[in-house]
Amino acid sequence: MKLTGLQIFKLLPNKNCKECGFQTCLAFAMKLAGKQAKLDACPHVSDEAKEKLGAASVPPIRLVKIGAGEREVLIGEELVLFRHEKTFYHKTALAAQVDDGMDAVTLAARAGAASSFSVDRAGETLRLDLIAVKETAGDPQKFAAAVRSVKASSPLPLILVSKNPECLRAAIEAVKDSRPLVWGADAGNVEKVAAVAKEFSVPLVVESGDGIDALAALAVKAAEAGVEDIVLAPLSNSPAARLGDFTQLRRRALARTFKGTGYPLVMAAGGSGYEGAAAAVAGTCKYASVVVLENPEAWEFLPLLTLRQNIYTDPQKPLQVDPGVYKIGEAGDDSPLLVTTNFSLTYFMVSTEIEASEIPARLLIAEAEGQSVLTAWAAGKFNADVIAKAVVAQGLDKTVTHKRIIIPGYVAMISGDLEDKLPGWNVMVGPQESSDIPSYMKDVWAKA
Amino acid sequence: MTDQIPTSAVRRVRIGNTAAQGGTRAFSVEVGGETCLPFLHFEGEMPLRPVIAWEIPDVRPDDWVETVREPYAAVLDDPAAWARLAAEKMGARLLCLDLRGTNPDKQNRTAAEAAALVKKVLAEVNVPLIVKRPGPGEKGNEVLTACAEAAQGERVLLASAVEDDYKTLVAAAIAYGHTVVAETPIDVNLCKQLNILISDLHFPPEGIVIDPLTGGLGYGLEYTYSVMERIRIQALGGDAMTQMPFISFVGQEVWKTKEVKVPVEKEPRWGDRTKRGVLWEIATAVSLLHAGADILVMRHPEAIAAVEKTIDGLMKKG
Amino acid sequence: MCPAVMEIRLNTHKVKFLPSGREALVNEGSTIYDAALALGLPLRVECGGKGTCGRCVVKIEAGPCAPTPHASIAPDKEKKGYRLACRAAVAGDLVLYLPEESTLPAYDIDFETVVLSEDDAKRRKALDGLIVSPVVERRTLDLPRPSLEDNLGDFERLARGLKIPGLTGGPRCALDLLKKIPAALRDSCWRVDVTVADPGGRPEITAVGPAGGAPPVGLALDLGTTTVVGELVDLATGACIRRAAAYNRQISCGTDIISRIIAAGRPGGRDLLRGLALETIGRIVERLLAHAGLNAEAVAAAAVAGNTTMVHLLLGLDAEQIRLEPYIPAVNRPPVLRAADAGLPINPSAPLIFAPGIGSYVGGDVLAGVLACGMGRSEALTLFIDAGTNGEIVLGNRDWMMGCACSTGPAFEGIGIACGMMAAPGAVEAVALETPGAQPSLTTISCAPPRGICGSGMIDLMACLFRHGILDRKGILNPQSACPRIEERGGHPAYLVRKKGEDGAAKEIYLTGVDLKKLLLTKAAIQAAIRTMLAEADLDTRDIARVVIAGRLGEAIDAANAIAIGMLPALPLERFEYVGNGSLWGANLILLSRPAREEIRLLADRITYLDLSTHPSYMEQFVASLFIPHTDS
Repeated sequence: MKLTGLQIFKLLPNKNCKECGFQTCLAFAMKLAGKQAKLDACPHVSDEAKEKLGAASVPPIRLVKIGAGEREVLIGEELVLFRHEKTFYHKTALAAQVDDGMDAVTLAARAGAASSFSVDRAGETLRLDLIAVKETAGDPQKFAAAVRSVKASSPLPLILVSKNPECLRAAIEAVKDSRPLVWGADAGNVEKVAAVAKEFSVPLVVESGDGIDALAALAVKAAEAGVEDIVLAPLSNSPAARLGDFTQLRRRALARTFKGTGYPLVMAAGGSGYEGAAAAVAGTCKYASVVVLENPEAWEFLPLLTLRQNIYTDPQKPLQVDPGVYKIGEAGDDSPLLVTTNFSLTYFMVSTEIEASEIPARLLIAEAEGQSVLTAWAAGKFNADVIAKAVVAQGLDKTVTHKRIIIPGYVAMISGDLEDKLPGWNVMVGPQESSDIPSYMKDVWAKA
Repeated sequence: MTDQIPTSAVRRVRIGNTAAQGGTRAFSVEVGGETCLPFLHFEGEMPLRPVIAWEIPDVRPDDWVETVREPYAAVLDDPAAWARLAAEKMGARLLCLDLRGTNPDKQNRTAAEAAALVKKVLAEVNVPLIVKRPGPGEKGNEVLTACAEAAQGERVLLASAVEDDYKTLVAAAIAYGHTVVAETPIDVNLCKQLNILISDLHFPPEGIVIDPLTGGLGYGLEYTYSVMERIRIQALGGDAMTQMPFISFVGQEVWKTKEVKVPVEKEPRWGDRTKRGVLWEIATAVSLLHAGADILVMRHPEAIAAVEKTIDGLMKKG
Repeated sequence: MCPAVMEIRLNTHKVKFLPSGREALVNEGSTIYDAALALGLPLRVECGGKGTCGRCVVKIEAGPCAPTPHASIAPDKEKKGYRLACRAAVAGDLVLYLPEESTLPAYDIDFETVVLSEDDAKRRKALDGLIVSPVVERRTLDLPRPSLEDNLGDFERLARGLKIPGLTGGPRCALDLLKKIPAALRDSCWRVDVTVADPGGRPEITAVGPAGGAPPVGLALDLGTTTVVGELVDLATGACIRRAAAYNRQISCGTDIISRIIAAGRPGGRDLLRGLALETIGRIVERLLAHAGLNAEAVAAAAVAGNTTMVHLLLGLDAEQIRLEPYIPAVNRPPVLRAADAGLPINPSAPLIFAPGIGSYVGGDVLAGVLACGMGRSEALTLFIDAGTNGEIVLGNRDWMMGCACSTGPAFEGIGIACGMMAAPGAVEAVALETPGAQPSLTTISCAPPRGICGSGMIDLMACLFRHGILDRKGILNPQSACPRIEERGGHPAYLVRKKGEDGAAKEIYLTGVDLKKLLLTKAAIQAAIRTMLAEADLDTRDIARVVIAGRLGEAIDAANAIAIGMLPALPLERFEYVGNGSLWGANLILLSRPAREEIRLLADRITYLDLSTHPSYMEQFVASLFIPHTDS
């Protein structure tokens, strides 16, 4: 049960002593409710309150760690059903799958390609997270050898996919201490495989194609056998059924009242090419903590990782666009240059109106922490200094032929300052409202 | 949390009139009707399948990257032929005629030319039609009013009414019996407000499809995704003024991004350019399907085929 | 290298303002606005000199002055020499004409007796249960004459006579007063009235005069961003003697707090703004004293309730940090000062006390209002709304309270509205409309001929126009509504309230589409703040037992109409209560009562500040509120 700030406040001593670092007990309680503060910060809290508040703070979905060291993967601890409520937390881990039917050279090449992919995008390095190795022949030696050669050519943590306890044991021993995720328990082998997972203290996937109740029961069995870190794999017989299963499992986990559901979910995207990729998209959107791609190809990585980046962006940050120069229409060095802040709604409105003016232009977006023009100006984040620096950083001082810049009408007062900071430039004051941009461009710019 | 099963439904909107309905289409396309979040068949109804509309530009789209121009190489200069190719050879059930050429900044084609083209396309193919103006303003209104008149009785979907400029478009829809797209910039409240304003003009809500503006993959998709989820949750919770089906203009957002344009020679790690672009469009479309999209306007035939297949899988119950 | 020797000569020019004929000498490149500022002319610069509001139009009669393009100056007027003062650079000696509409009306209001007696009843209610224990006390002493045996010094004799319990080391006293004491004692034959201030801490003798003088009075000040209200109070009885108000002269540096802070940050800015605040207060005090027949010395104490920025600017403190993250003011709870330290034109030794604030954007004015409405002593969940230039809202009861501020703008106070004015005689304060095409019926303050519209009238009008379909839900005048009173004014559709001459109107009165947009923003800011705060407390509108409306909107506000446009929560009308000018009441209370001074100190400890500017859902609530009455209702 999630407690509101006022409910928590009633459990606090109401001394307003400020020792927690907040102005009042209520302020502290509101931060606690938003999980932006820890109860330990209050030196006067009663034991009763500690107990009540503590129970509510255990995450409903278990945190599971896969691998060890620098590339360790964390999954679970999700708190919500929809990303607008609170950001989705541990990003969906993407895994590339190989199998022990491949020769050593192919294995090394595929594992190497998957683990070397790396693209920097919007402040994040996009990379794959895991390599899944599938056992196909029931031969422990062969499986262990394949796992070994994958490990040798990739630093990524592994998923070991096999139903055979002996194969799993051999493979785990082959990559000792690397904490692979073992995808192996089903209704037929759960005791044996759980015993292996417990013996080596590795996380375990339990799978079932008989519905989510059967799956939860299996998870309970694995837990009773002593496995703590469990990942659930509902094997659904259609994309629609899969979406239903993943959704219901997530809901049950968040409700905290269904046994055997408080674990992260894994999905095998199945199929190759566009079909598998489309399934991976669905899994990323709807609750898969791990998505395994069968033999993915290079062109799949960037779209899928970009999607994951999008879905896992914090939705409560103000909507921002990247600072920089945006061309609207076929704009060049002699086109009008306008400037505004990186609040996305501001950008949207301004760019739409410029487009409507039908005069190609360039729009300089200055970094203003995603605030609107007046807010940013009031807080000193959108002033002559910021704009002048952005102009220089984008090289506009060298390329713009007309040396004119149009600033939003609401910050007309910085025009003098800006002319001082941009010697030789003519600062033009645009309209206050973006809807007046078209007429401004036609009447004022065209005549200037 | 929406643990309880919602009982309210998204409104059904019909595009296209058959002869029986006073038009000349072979069939009409209906969207909406959901009583559950997308594809959650276990707790509600999703009676109608999301529909993909094929984008047909009215003038040769020289700005399209060649990977998406190539499948249409033979018809690039002929929108009517393009429409025929899509409807007859490629199985399109809905077309979106993009009147980009009427932009005064571009070819500046006249309202009369646009209306003539609408007539011609309606004569060439018998599938329902979306007609899209390049932007609001006087020219856009003139163009769309002429097209609405030219398509009288065919119940086309006119795109798009915006908050500052919706009255003329809605008046044309009322006068000539069409449906409208209400476009708002990624905001639950603005979306609802425009629906109310349009309804206040005595336009029936069953004629409104909402476009909360699509951000392409990597370019604001997450905002569109969440706003659509929120609007839909609100709609299923009983808010009549958000119970409209969604349209997402996917193709135009996807195919202008850097990631679909850069050739593999320049970025070897990014892999095959065509497939990368197609997947960019698929990923945008599929994620928006999960957020509630009812109509997806798309470009690449392979992407469309893959998304149709995804819809097949998601619509299969049990 | 030999540095070039350069003679720097600043060209100065004379700028003469007609019709007053006053002249300023300014550097070349200064603006006409700078010249007006130098002379203290109340130029109407609502945007703070950004060149955006278009209100500071002057006419050049002689001298060089380049055109200043702006929508408010038509081409033919530009040819005739009309310029925006804040944009017009001085390039030579100038003679210019300053039209009346380009200056801020002085609007010195002296409140009528009727108003005061009604208010007095309220004041007594507010004071109910609070012991009158003013911050200064008047005592009449019969001092024994000194002799060779009883040879205490004059000051010590006075101190002994006061018999202040527990005081060691004697009271404090200003040197200037000390100088006067010997003569005062002897002139009054040792029978004196002594005024002692004890604001907490060490008592101070602040006045000594012959016994039987006029009783000491206090000055309560509501220091608003737009309007300043002062009141003289009888410290012995708590009765109001006189009240007066004036526009804050700082408006010539911008109508909003941020513009003022920025203006104060310019060279000489702090002195300029402090001077303007003191000038405003001085003017009010002068009028109060004249009416009451008192001299400045009689004012023995002053209490100020103002927002944090206004207090900073009055005291000449650096206000810059108030607008910069993390928004830390120099002081939230100013110490007790002497009137002379702050430059207040009253008894120099008079203690000057301030209502404390809790942060940069919830200041002493709000706490004063909260104190006055008594919500901190009640169990009932109370929503306190002070809609001034900033809207401040406090929610809670005696167990908990949270407060927030939102930027509403000065529209309700008449600033930035084409025919707006403050609540003063002649202001349209109530409007009713029978049919869409009818002439609206008006109620004006003091039943004077209509001069303009004040906040409550604007709310009424907006609600009427909406009810009759003349205004759409976005707050836009609907040209298709076929209302004959919609005409174009200044390039925008406008609703005509009165033609010139109708009901004695001296000029045309109308509300433009732009005005309506400003009103919509104002109502949305308040509505969104209320909704955000309720959501934060996880409470529903219906949980609110009492809504207290404070601020200059005053009692004239029609709650039903304010509910109709969404500004106030839709609750039964009997739950609404009007505290009037809460800041002024609060200032009165701390002037008059020790328990009140104690309570406001505790309030400052208890109110939790909610920062809306960084609140994740405020913006969204705001957008939802930019609709009449609301997107969801």
